[in-house]
Amino acid sequence: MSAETAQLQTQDVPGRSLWVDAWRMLRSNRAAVISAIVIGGMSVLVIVGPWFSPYSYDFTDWSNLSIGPSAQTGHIFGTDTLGRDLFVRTLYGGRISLMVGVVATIVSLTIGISYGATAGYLGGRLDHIMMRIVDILYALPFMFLVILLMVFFGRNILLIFVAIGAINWLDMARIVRGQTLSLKHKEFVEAAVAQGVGTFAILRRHIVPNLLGVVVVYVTLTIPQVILVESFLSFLGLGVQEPMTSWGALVKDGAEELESAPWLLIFPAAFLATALFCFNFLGDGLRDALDPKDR
Amino acid sequence: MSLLEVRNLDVRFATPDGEVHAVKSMSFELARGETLGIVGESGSGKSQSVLSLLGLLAGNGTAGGRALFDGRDLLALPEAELRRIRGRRISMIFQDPMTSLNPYLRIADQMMQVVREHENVSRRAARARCLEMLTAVRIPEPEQRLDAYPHELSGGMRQRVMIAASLLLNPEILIADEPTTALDVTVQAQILALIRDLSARLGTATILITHDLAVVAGLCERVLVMHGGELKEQGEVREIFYRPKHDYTRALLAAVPRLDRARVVRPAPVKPAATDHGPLLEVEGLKVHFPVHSGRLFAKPRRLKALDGVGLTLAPGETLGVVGESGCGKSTLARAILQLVPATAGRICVMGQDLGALEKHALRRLRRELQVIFQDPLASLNPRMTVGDIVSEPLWTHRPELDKNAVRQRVVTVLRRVGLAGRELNRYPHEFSGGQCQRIGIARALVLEPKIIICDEPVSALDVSIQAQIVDLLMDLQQELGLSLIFIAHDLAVVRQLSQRVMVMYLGTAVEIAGRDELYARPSHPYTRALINSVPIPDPDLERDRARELLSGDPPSPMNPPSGCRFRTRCRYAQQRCRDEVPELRAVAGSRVACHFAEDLPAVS
Repeated sequence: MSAETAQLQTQDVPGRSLWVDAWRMLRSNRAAVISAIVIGGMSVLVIVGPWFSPYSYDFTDWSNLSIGPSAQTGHIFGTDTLGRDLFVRTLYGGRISLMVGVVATIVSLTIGISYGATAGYLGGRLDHIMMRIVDILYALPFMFLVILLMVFFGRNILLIFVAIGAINWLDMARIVRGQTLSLKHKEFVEAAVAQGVGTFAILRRHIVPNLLGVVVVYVTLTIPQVILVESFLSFLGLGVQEPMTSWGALVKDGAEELESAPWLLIFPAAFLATALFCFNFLGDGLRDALDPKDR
Repeated sequence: MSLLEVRNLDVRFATPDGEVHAVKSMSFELARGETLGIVGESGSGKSQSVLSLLGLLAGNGTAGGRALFDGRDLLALPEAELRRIRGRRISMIFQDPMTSLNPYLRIADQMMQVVREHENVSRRAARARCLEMLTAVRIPEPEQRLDAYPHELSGGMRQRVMIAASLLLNPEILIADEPTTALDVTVQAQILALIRDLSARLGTATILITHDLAVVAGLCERVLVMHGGELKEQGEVREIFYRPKHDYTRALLAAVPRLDRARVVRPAPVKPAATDHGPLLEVEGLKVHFPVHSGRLFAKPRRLKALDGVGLTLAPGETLGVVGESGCGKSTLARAILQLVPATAGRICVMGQDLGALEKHALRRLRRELQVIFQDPLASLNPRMTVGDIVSEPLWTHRPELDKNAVRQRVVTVLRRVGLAGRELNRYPHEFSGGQCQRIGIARALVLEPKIIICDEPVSALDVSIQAQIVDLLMDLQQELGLSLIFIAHDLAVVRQLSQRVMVMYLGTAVEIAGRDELYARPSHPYTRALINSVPIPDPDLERDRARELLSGDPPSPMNPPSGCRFRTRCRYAQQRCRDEVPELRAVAGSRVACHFAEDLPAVS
């Protein structure tokens, strides 16, 4: 108390927001910090790396078909059965996989937050109708939907974004709606209503900022989930179109050559697993840092 | 020889922000059959000191010192042996009876588990013992209760079950950690009487941990006063209350609101001359019913009648106290007046305008005259906004013409007015203590210079000394600014301090409205009498000499209120007429009372 009063004596005391607190907690979590660095490094590598490689992702090196990793040939991860450089292909696959993860998450985030916050805050009959629509969409079999899309529109990376985003926003909408419902009856929101603050201002100033913590956590856990779904689709042959590739497609190709050329599986799988690990660790760290229950 | 002897007890917690020294070198003794009270405000270490004795500290806590129980040091015992002592020779009851009972187990199973864990007895013998104990704690129909689940019992019943379970093995020490804090005052009185009676009959030594000095006054023989982890004073209960030696004890005693006399004598606020508008706020026949959906599809929702026909008026510059037990509809009343829940029927007029008939924009304009202060100081402030923004928000809404500097000027002024430094603008709510947060909430309510402020239990989440400061602040502000207050509380003593008139509510209706002195000196409704009678007084002699007229049972469910007079099921004067006819509020000797027999009741002693 006395320390607090002493602090009050100085002019314009700087505040310590919950975000600052969360940041401090996150930084003290070693696993999360390392994960964030690894994810950052990997992102830079997949974007910048291919520029420095002498090979392109679809170039066939006829003199080096299906060779193991070696420095002399310049194929540091080796080549596949068609003589394409695995290092470059892994980085290109990473571009696609990470992009699918981020874009599909942003799609689901945008739809999910606006849908969930609207349903939750306005409530009543509208909420009922909106959430029943979500229930119905949940009931659609995901694989069936994707196969149908592929059959109608042909294989297209954009379709994968749409398909995955269209499934994932359902979870987001439910989470956001639940949070909004509990926030709506918080006393600070009631106080704002009693003051006569308008609906839009309440959503903007009181509801959405308090949702962000949960949303950020959910995003970091959604990205790996989406990457995994894309890999799964590619593994089934429904994903990206050759010669473009993704981590999932590379793992699938590698698995077929497991006995003759194990490096084709090991390198892409290692990248995929590391990325998933790091995203999950980062998500856990963020959840610990942002969870309002700890306060 | 004493039963328990604690020497230089130290409790420390390792936290990310450094070590917290929760209990500092505490020494005390407990004699056989004695009732010892440990009193302190939140964070004083009163609970941690006792939890450490049982080895129940959180994982990051360590205890040092010695605690001799029957010649053995509890702090040095291995876990297995401590477990044998815990429950069998020293048992404990906690504050919240719901969370200390397993919701998936029947009462009989939970209680028998305790017996069979420590003694080798048959199920039948154990069950018989449980039944006997439930009878001892005066649970009606104990045979049926044995097969009930915890959620089927009321809060008071659950606490009785907890007491029964803790006394099953006839322990030498019973530790009660805030056993009545979660209960209503009429139920609290029943439980305290039960503990007093049982410990006398069974000869159990009791340690009562509480923040409430009044509870200690009636129950304990010796008292320890703790503050900031230190034992400030210990002594006989009458010594502590009548001749306190330590300054902190004196301050604490002075801060406790008392039902038998006002803590500070204040001149009655001058009533401004009546205006042409008549009363500032007028509520007539207000009903709020909530639909309760049963799980079944297409089933017609039942109605929970939270408010069933309440009327009140509030004059300029007046404070109206509203008291009642939990579930009586007092908070719903506040929310209905603020238009936070829709009224099912009735009229709410502010300055002559019917809120229900107003258009959205007109209502929004009128809201600046009607502000609110909530119970939970932290929950009523948005954690993501700075204090400056929180207090500015009403100005942004209602005074958009003000520029940044003018807003800042007003915010700083109002923050200073409520006793803050005015430099907190950039800080966030979680950086402040509960009392400071409540001041920020008051500043937010004041910044628009409203005419009416509705205070919904504004001090019940605060410690006694902070409570007194906030009450003083509200009274100062009211006198200075001529505010009208509706002050809602469950604590009759607090309401007494600052109200001019008091309304007593029971199950969604007003049972009595009277001037403050009238109500506390000559309560006319049987419920008001029982309520006043149940409040403990922080004075050992007075408290022990009081002729008690305790209410039995718990308030009925508002889903299914009794016919006629709603209080009749717990009223000792109830007759056939009370069952058939709903009593109207009518004038009886200076108050307005809803009781058929208000004139015929025996005079208050």
